[in-house]
Amino acid sequence: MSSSSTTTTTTRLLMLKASDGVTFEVEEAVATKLGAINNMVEEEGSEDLICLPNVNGKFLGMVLEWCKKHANNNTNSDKGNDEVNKWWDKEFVMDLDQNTLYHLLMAADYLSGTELVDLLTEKVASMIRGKKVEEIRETFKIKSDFLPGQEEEIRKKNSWAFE
Amino acid sequence: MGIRVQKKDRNNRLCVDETMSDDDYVVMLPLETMQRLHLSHAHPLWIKGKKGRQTMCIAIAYDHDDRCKIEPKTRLNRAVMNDLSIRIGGSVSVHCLPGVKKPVHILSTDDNLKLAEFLNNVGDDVLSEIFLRLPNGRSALQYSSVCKRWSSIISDSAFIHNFIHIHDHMCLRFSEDYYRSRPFMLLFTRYDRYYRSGESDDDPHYFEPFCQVFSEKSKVPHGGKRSNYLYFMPCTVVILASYNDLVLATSLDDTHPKHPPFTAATKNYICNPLTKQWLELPKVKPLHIISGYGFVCEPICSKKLGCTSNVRYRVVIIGRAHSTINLLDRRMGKLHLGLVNGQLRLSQFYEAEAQKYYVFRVWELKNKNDNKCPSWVLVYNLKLNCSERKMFFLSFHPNHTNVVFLLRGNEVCQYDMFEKKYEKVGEYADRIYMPWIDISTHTIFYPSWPTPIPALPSTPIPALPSG
Repeated sequence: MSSSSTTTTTTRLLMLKASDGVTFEVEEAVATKLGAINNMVEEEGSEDLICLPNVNGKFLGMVLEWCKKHANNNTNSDKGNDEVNKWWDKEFVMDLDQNTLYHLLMAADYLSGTELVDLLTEKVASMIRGKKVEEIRETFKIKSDFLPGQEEEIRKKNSWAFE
Repeated sequence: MGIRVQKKDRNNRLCVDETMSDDDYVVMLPLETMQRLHLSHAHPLWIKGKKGRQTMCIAIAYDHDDRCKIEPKTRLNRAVMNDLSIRIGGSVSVHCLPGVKKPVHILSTDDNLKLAEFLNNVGDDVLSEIFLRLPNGRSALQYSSVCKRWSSIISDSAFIHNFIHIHDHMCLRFSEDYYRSRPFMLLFTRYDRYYRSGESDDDPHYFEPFCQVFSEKSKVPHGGKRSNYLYFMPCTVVILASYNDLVLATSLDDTHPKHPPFTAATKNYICNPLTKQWLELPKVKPLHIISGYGFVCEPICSKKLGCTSNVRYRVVIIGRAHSTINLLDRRMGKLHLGLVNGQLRLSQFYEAEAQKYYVFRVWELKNKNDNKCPSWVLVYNLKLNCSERKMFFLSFHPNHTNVVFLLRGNEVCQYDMFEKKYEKVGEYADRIYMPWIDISTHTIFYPSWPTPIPALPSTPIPALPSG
């Protein structure tokens, strides 16, 4: 990302340090898309270096890439931008493998990036929805650990949902 | 400009089948088709139908059962099929989107294994966030029978509160789209069977609504089937009022055979026809003449606790002495109040000028921009031609501003006030003498999670004023 032009002089830069020591220099407007960072900035305004010991550099980079895209697209308040954001989001989650998805979700959750958590959980939900209970158990290798009769009890209690 | 998945040959033309899924952005393709077209899981696609219609969908694979020899089909939901002007058995073509990267991997059992590992390792809070994004309460409850962990997350009351909050109460609550897409069912019931026909009939169908109108989406909570009526109740009941997915019903066992049930109702119930839960209300002293029932059930929401799944009920019985408006005046015709897309509407319907035509007016309560006092605005002023069949106003359409339901002879008609067209939606066999008293319409709306019916509070409920 090229730095902003000379006209925007007030942009404050923050240093974010990941667990593996990798640091990222980002504009405040980008980093504050994350609720946790927004809180830190508001509380201790003078500190420019923020350490994030729970997030790996690789995933912090991806989270920040998402933040940049959204912060930039939000500045021009065009209606078409909503669509652009949606498209970009779709591409962003499209080819994530399980490992990345998991760590990204953890990182987003830890940094309170509510919108990003929404996006990633939506992606996982889309992978499980539409499947029957038996299909879920089979595809995701989940064993039914109910005691005899317990599952029947759940079905009976909410019989309308199983009819 | 879409890039064809396969040039020239018609490999990307696919036969269509319907799915009950209510996800409008999903096209379900057989796994082998996904692999043949080199598509990855959740790959965005243009789907092209008839008349140049096209829409954007995300491809999801499903396992096709090899044992049946039928050609595997592409599954779309009803809404997408309508958008594309396509019917079951028709064909659509799929196209990659311009500018989308070449898919990296193809969905395989490996991916499912990875997802399995993910779902088993992820924390309860994230898993609960995932379940919150399931399309409806029905599918969430089904997943509560997968394993103990999923069951404890989904049956947690905080989860249910959040689910209702996200699906029903958040930003969507007051938008027009929210009202337009609410799944609904209209029940047209007649009361005269209970008190005018002397013979007792054991056939439970006899007490069913004689006509039902429902939206496609309202089938989802019922698992794609039509709903069954109040058979589960301990006695034969008739509906007095409805609120969202709950109904206020009264027992027919105690009613005097010569009176309509709503004048002497003593044994009343609140029930949820979907979950088959019900509650008997404390007996009330029969009133001589009752002109109406009111029934409201609102979730208890507070800033401190957020929305909860607990609800507060209010049942109001309006005796004649207390009513200030007489809704039945011969000269004025019957006035009818109703909600359309969340807006209050008032209708007037009467026969004019020696039975030459009917006058039909509709007002809507609108908020003016400059002052806060709402006022009634006339939105329709129509003259409907008289035929040999008598007409009565029955009900507004709950989500369609141009449509009302009228009774024409013994037919229930859907009338489009804009296009001036009638469409028959139901009928009854024998004569109804006083349709303005004997027919009543109740609307049921299905929220994302069915409203629970709790036990009665232990404190006694204040007695009704007599008179």
